Amino acid sequence: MKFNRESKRVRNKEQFDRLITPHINRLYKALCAYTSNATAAEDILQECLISVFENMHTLKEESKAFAWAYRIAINAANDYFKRYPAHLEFKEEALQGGPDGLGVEQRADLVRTLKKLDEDERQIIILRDVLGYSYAEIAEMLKLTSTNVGVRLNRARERLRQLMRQGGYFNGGEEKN
Amino acid sequence: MNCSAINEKLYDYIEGNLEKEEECFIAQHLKTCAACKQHYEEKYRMLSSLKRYGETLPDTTIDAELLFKMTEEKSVKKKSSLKRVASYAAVFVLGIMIPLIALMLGGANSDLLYDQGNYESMSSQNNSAKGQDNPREESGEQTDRITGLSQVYAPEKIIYNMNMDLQVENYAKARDDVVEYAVFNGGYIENEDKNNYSNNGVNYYYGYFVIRIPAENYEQFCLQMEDVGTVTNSSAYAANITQEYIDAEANVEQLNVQRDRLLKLYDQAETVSDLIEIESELTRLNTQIVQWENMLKDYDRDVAHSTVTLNISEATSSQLHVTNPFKGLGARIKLALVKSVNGFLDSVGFLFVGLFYVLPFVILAFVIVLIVRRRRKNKVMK
Repeated sequence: MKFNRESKRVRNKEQFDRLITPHINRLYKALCAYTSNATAAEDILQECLISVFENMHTLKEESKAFAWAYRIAINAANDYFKRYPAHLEFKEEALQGGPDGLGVEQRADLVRTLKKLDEDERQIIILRDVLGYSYAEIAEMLKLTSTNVGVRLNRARERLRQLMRQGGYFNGGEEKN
Repeated sequence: MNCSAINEKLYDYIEGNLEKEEECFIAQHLKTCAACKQHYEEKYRMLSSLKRYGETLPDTTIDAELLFKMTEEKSVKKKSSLKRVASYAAVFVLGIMIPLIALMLGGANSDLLYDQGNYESMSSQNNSAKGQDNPREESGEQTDRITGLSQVYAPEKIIYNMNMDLQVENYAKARDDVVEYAVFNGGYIENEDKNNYSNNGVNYYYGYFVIRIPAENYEQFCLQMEDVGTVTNSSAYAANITQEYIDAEANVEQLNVQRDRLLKLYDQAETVSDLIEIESELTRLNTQIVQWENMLKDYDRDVAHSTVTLNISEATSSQLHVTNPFKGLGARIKLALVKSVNGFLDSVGFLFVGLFYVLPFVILAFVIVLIVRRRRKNKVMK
C-alpha cells in the first residue's frame, strides 16, 4: 500500500514535470482571460494543478496532456465561481495593461463585451484570438473537429463584432488607427 | 468574387492564411470598396485588440515546485504522521476499551451479564443433578468456576414436577410414544395405570403415568408431550429443597461423629452391661444414619429426575374433529404471521437499541476525525 502510493507519486511527479510544468503559464493566461480576474485565476490554477497532479495517472494520451489540463482548469474555474460567485466580477487592477497593451478603458470595454458572449463562444475566441492557439490545439481542448472549430469561431467572432459595434467600441478608436 | 464572399474571407486575410493570389485580390478590392474596407477595419481592430489583450495577460506567480512540495508534505503526513496514527489509535482504543470497561464495572445490571448468569446457574444445576454420587463436590467446583456470580446464582437443589392432561386419538399409540420419549430422554416409567369406560357403546381408554425424566431433559420431554396429543391442562411446580438437603447432610455428619465417639467408648468398655448399653445406642444411631442417608439419596434422585405425571385420555368422537386440517387454519396463519412480525420487530428493536449503544462512540470518533481533519486543513492552508 505504502509502496504503491509512493511509486505512483513518483510516476505522477515525473509525468507532471515533463508534460504539465512547461504549460503552467499558458494555463494561467487562459484562466486569466476566461475569468478576467487574476487573483481568482491564481486560486483556480492552484486547485487545477493539484487536481492534475493527483489524477496524472488517469491521463491516457500524453500528447493531449495540455488539452486535458485545460479542461480540468475550466472545470475548476466553473466550480470556483459556483462557490464564490462574487469573484466573477471583473477586477481591473488585476489585469492592468502592460507597456504595449491596450488602454485601461479599452481593455475594460473588451472584457465586458467578451463576458456577454456565451461560454462556448467566449472560450473559442479566447483560445484562438487572445491566446493564439492553432485550430488543431483548440479542437483537442474543446473536443471538437478542426472544421467545427472554424465554423464556431467564425460565428463567435461575428457575434463579438456585433456586440462591440453595439457597445460603440469601434467609434472612439477611428482616429487612433 | 463579390463583396459577401470577400467578407467571409476577411478573417483569414487578416490572419494571413490565404494564398498569394487571393490575398492580392482582396487587397485590391479593399482599396476600392468602402463597405468592405469598413468591415475589414472592424475585424482587424477586434482581432488586434484581442491579440494585444492576450499579450498583456499577466504571468503566473505560482511555483509548481513549491505547490508540489506542499502536496507532497500533505501526502507524507497522510502516510506516516504520528499524530494521524495516534488519532486513529485513540479512536480505536476508545471504541474498544470503553465499552469493555463499562461492561466490567457497571455491567452487573447489564442485560448481557444477567443472561450469562442465568445460563451459568442453569448449567450448574444440571451438572449437580448429574453428579448425584457426589453432589456437594460437583457444585463446589461450579462455584469456583463462576466466581462473582455464584453468590447470586448458587446452584440449588430444585425438584421439578409437571402435571399434564393429554387428549389423544389412540391410547395404545400414545402410550407407546410416551414410553419411547421417556426412554429416549434417559427416563423411566415409575407408575402406570390403565382404565376404560364406555360412552354410547364405544370403549375409551384413559391412563395415568408417573414418569421420571433426567432433570436436564425435563423441558425437552414436556415439549415432546405436545406431539403425543393435545395438552388440555398442565401445571408445573418446582420445589427448592436446598435448605432441607443441607440440614440432612449436617445431621448425617453429626450422627457419624456421635457414632465414632461411641465406638471409642465401646473399645474402652469393661463391663458387659456397658457393652450392651453402648451397642443398643450404636444400633439406634446406625438406624438414624441410614434413614437420613436414604433421605439424601431420595433428594438426589428427585433432583436428578424430574417427575412428570401424565393423564392420558382418548378423545370422544366429537372432540376428534379438532384434527380437521382446515379448522383453525386462519388462526394458525395469523399465529405464524404474528410470530414472524414479532421476530422482525424484535430484531429491529435489537438493532435500534444496538445503535444507541454505539452512538456515543460513533459521535466521539466523528468529532475526533473532524478535529484532526480541520487541523490538517489549517496546516495546508498555512
